[in-house]
Amino acid sequence: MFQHKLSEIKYQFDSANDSLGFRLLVDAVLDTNNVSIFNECISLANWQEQNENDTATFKTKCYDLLAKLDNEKINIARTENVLVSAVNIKKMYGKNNFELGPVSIDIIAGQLIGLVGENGNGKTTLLRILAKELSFTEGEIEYPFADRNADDYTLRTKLTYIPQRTPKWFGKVKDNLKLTCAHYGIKPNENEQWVSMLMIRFGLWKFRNHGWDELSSGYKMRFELARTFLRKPRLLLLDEPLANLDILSQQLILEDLKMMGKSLSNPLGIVLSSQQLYEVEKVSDEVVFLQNGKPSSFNNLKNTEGDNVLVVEIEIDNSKESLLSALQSVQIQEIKLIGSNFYIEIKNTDSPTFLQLLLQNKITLKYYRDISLSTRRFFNR
Amino acid sequence: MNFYTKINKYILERFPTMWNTHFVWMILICLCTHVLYFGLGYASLDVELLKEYGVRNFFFKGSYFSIYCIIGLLALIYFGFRYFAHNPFKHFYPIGKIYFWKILGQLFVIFFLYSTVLISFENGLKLKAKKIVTMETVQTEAYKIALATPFLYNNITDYVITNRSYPEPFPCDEVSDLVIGHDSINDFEIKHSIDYKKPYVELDASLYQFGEISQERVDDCNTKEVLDTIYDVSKIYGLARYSIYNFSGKELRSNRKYVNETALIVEEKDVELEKIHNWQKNKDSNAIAKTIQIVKDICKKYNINEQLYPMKMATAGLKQNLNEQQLIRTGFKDYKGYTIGEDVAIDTAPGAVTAVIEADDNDKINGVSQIDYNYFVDIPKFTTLKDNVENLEEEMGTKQLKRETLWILILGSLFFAFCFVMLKYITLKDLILGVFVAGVLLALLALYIGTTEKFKEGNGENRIMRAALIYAALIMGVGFYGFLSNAIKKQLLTKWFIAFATAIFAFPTILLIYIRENSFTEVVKTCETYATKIYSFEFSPWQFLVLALISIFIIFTMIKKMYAKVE
Repeated sequence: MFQHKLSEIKYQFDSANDSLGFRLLVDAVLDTNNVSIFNECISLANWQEQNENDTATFKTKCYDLLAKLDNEKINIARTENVLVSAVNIKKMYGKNNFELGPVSIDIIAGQLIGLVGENGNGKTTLLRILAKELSFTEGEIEYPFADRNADDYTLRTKLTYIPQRTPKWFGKVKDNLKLTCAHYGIKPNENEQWVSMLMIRFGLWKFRNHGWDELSSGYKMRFELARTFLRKPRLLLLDEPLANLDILSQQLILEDLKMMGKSLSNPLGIVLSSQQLYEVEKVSDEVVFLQNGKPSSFNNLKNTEGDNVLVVEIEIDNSKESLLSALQSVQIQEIKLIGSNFYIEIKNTDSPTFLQLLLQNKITLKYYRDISLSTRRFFNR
Repeated sequence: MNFYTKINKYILERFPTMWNTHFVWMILICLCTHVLYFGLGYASLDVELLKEYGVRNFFFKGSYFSIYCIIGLLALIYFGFRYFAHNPFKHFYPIGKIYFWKILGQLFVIFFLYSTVLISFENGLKLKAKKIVTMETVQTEAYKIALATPFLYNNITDYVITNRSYPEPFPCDEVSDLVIGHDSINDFEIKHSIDYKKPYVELDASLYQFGEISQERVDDCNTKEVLDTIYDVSKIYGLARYSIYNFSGKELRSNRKYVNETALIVEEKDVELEKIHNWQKNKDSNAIAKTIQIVKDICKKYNINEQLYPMKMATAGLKQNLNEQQLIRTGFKDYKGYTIGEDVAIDTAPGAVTAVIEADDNDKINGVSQIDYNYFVDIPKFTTLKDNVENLEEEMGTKQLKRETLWILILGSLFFAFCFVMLKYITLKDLILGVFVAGVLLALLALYIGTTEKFKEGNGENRIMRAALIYAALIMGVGFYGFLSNAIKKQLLTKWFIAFATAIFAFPTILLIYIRENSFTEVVKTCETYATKIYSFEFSPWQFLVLALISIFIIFTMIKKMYAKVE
């Protein structure tokens, strides 16, 4: 598996995807848990910082490091272990009669679960329940990874929950990370290396001596993630981590989360809530849609409805009549105008056929998205 | 700066709690403050200060204390910024079993070290005082001045007569005198007094009657047993006139509260009394002049005002005393005084005070006011100097740090350390709300008691104790209920904390006091021993310290659980 990972890194560098290649390289270095390799990676990051424009030499050095990794042996962790098992969780609020659940969810190491839904449908509540921040009315949650005799405080040290609005911290990025590291029992002579590696991995290297006020929202989130990963968490719960981030940062963070979550040596379960449906769907192993507190699984959708029904969102310059006329030959299950977009459900057809029909009937298409396998369709129901 | 960063890095990687509390730097600040204040103490002391002012509370006068507070405040800001900003507890970082003790210990060391800056300041004063004048020197000089004092006349209103020797035909012997009247049973004191074998004596055609006192003991059954009957010459009206008086420089002050100490000092020196009497008896003006000259030299040394003409003084002194019959050789006796409130009784025997005061008046009437004020020496200034040196030597500084002061510093530092540990775990808002909740409950309880006139029985203290017990039990009950059940949310518990913690601390103490009070008033005999034990337990610093630490740990564990509890 590790060799496969190294091949992928090499492929990315060969394909001139240096940025992605380097991030994967850092992941691989972290997988080794070897401080001497860490030092080499840190030296490389330092060198890059001082020679930003010399990409050719940088790539050569990356290849060198990659070659060294080839000889490393790593301990591959088991990923099939269930970290959290929640069965029929219910949470009732008296004031507005809102009821979350029943929700049943199993989270295994290396899995990334997206939690989507409109505002006020219980995403944050569910995350906080899983993080043991909130009590629940009914159901049962087990944390098989934790020691059964451990008290609640000890258990909560292993559950990491990052709220939407992260609290302000003081001091420098590096100092804060080092303090976290020291608390989690990292050996003093390895503290610097671990912190540096995580800073490199999350793009904080340049900002290591910056304070909270000097970081943008994206980098604050990166800092939180770096701090969280230093804790070597088993379960990571993120509430709207993509809020306030630009589209590029959103993609980067999601990719990072997915890659780090599937670490070979330290895999972890991740649950994140977000309004960015498509981005989340791209990286998630499973998406849970919450509506009025009731969950629908994206996987169920794939299995039950996805095969037969084409669901699309389109925006056109033509009238609804023209559209209906163009689609006369197919079996429309539902069509409705939501904002400026048409939401259309068609039975027994596929995306190319649908697009061909539009072209043949000279429908001017401004926006098109196939949401047959997206939780987006739940929003339109 | 590089060094600072390196040290910080080293501490951060190895001792995160020390980094969190700025321990090393705070210790450094404390030590620097110690050095600074030692220097300030050393620099600020001079002869003028020693003879003009008291040094006991010198630290709290002037700007020393203000500077100390400012340094402390700045250090606190420096400390608090990191201490409160980085809170592993609230982030649910793993904390070891001794984490709490580590933090508490560090804070205690910091607070204790900073609170003992006063001692360094005093040691600075002490060192300088030693350089100016040693204790041995000042004692020797005090003794020399004491020898000359009978021949010096200062402001007549400034002194109190406490030391006398009596002329013939008063064959006085020193005996012991008994004083009863202290709190506990079998507690009596032996005081020195004078035994005169005959109850009456005739002198200058006047008949003097001696006072009579008994030496008694109180047995277990509260019965007085007369051990001996003795006579006390001090009761004789006007006898004070026939004594060498004004002996000790210590007496030369209108404030009489030091008389007790003076008596002890005089007692040490009274071996020389006979010598003085002989000077008077033999009219040895040279000896007197020599003694006074020594005082003059001492005054010059310390730049103390003096207007002395030794020979003239010696002559005048002899003449005056002969004429006044004030210096008559026979037996002599010093009287021990003891403090009664602000004032001082000269002797333990009833009537002695009256005798002395009346003697004073007699002196005035009989022309003591004619004393030539050329014979002036500002003895009180020397007395102040001597007191200051003694204070510095005996009461202040590290070696002689009083046990009570030490305990105050230890327990005070522990209290502040505890407050800061707890402040880290509960927000100020919660604290304020908690105080408000506790206040409302207390007010409701007071209203209930006031309107329903409960707790009629017992005295006022007992009623308050009972009310306090109920209040503390109520708070603790709700606190424990919330702690053990899910019915009360975490937020409410944290607001409840201040009242809860106070109640946990207060409950045992109130209970002990309540039992003690009741045992004295209701079951005196049976509970007496028990009450005494409680009393000693309650106020034994060691036991209090252990109790406080256990309570602190219980509270901390509770807070930890409280925080881990889901909302």
